[in-house]
Amino acid sequence: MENIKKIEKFKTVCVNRYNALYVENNYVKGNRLEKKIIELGQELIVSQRGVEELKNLLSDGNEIVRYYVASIIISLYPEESILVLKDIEQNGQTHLASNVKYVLLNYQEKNNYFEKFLANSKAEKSK
Amino acid sequence: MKRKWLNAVSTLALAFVMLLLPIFSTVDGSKQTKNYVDYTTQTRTISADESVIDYESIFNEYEDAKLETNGSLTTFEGRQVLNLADLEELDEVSKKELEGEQLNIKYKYSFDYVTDKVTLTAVSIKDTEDGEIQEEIIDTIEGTAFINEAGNIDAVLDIDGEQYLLSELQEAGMVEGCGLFKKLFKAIKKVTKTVVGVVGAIATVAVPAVIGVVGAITGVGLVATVVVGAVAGATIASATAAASTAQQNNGKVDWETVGICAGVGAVVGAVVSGAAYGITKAVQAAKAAKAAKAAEETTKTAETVSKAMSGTEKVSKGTGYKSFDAFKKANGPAGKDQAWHHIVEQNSNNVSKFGANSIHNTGNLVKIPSGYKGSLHSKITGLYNSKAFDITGDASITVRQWLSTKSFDFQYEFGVSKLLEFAKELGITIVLP
Repeated sequence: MENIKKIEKFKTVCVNRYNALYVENNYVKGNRLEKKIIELGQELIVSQRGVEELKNLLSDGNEIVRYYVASIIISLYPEESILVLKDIEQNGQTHLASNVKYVLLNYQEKNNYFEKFLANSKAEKSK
Repeated sequence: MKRKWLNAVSTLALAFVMLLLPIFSTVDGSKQTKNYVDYTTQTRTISADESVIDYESIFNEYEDAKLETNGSLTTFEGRQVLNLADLEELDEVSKKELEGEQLNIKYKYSFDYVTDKVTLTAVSIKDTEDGEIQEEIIDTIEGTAFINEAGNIDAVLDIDGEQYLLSELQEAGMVEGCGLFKKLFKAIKKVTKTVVGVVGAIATVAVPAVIGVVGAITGVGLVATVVVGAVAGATIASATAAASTAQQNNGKVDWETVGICAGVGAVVGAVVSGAAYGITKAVQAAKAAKAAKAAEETTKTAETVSKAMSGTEKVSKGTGYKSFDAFKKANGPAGKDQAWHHIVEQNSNNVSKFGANSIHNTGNLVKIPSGYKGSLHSKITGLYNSKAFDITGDASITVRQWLSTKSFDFQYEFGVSKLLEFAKELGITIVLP
């Protein structure tokens, strides 16, 4: 799938994942979409082009998209991502606002999923 | 002589009692053990009011509908053409990428009444340029039916490697779900009701998002009916019902190797014996190891957050009980459409770490709306059952699993803040301890 398509899909899946869990109260559907976000995130984050396109989404009009992108690329663009997350924490209109503190703490503790994923990918490549 | 004989009898009697004593002790002891695994055959007898199922109308929903029974195994296959446009979000929740405007789907269902295994598969069928027919599995869900402690039929479903209790999903109102089987479910809902009405006493198990699995053991024509089921339900239920008519056993259904364990499972709450249902101890151990690792990595995080609110303080001022039952006995039931909710959850890990008195404590229990879709209880439970890489830093564990590795204060703070958040959204007030 082309990156543009992937990005569009990523945005849709982020919103649908949020809605599944918090609006439709369907965590099973939410979990499946969460998996999809991770799959797409992984596919995008391993290429420079993909990373740049993700970074552009930090200024997306949708708070949900901004939140997920910042959670994914926080280790690559900490300043920009933290700024976005802090803004969501203070002014956000979704349930994600209260999750920001965990994203930030995970980042401080080097417990960010995508940071670990990238480290593993590099280790695999160097073998 | 008589005295000697009496002495001999007394000695023999004493020896006999001593011999039997440990045996009785063992038997009695086993009764007192709650966390047991019972592999004995269980028998249930359930009455059915009527005995007619309109198979024709169900089979008409499919092309090439085929029903077969081979020994204890019943299989059903049928095709349907689905418009992708009608299936909201199908593309995102299915395991495979789906292209085109229409999907030619073959549904495969199998149920084995001896092993209680239920499988539902969706296969896409395409004609290749060479004129060959290409089949590709889009989704598969496997489940295992069992009788729970209350004597009702339930099932454990494996969805993307996670085990879900069907009853739990049903209570949370997620039966209709979404995706691939959404249209199918709607189409057969009416028929399902008819079937349910026909077979009478039924324990229906339906499935959550994407796929449902209904299995059935039904003695149609006589009196035995037990249905374990799925969203593709009417078809499946009746299919199995038809097939198992021949297998009926004088109105009784024998469940072999039904292991019911009263223990609390880490993944799905109170569940069944791992050995009997494929939730193996190895899997649980692997998950526990992973959770322990996550705990180690985030200990500092927990300490930082716990400073904001101390659950330990709340609990130290409250009254603790040795069990939830003891708490309810002292504090009464929660009331209609309400439930007592443990802020720090009452899973086995928490109870062993923090003690029953801290968990079943007036400082840790709160009365909240429950028992219907969208209730505060279902919202908080849904969040705990969700996977959230952003919160947990892990793609494979649920929020509940992540939380169970944290300190009491961390879990308390998380629980209270989310309760308040959801309560605000719902416009309700809750009285915190």
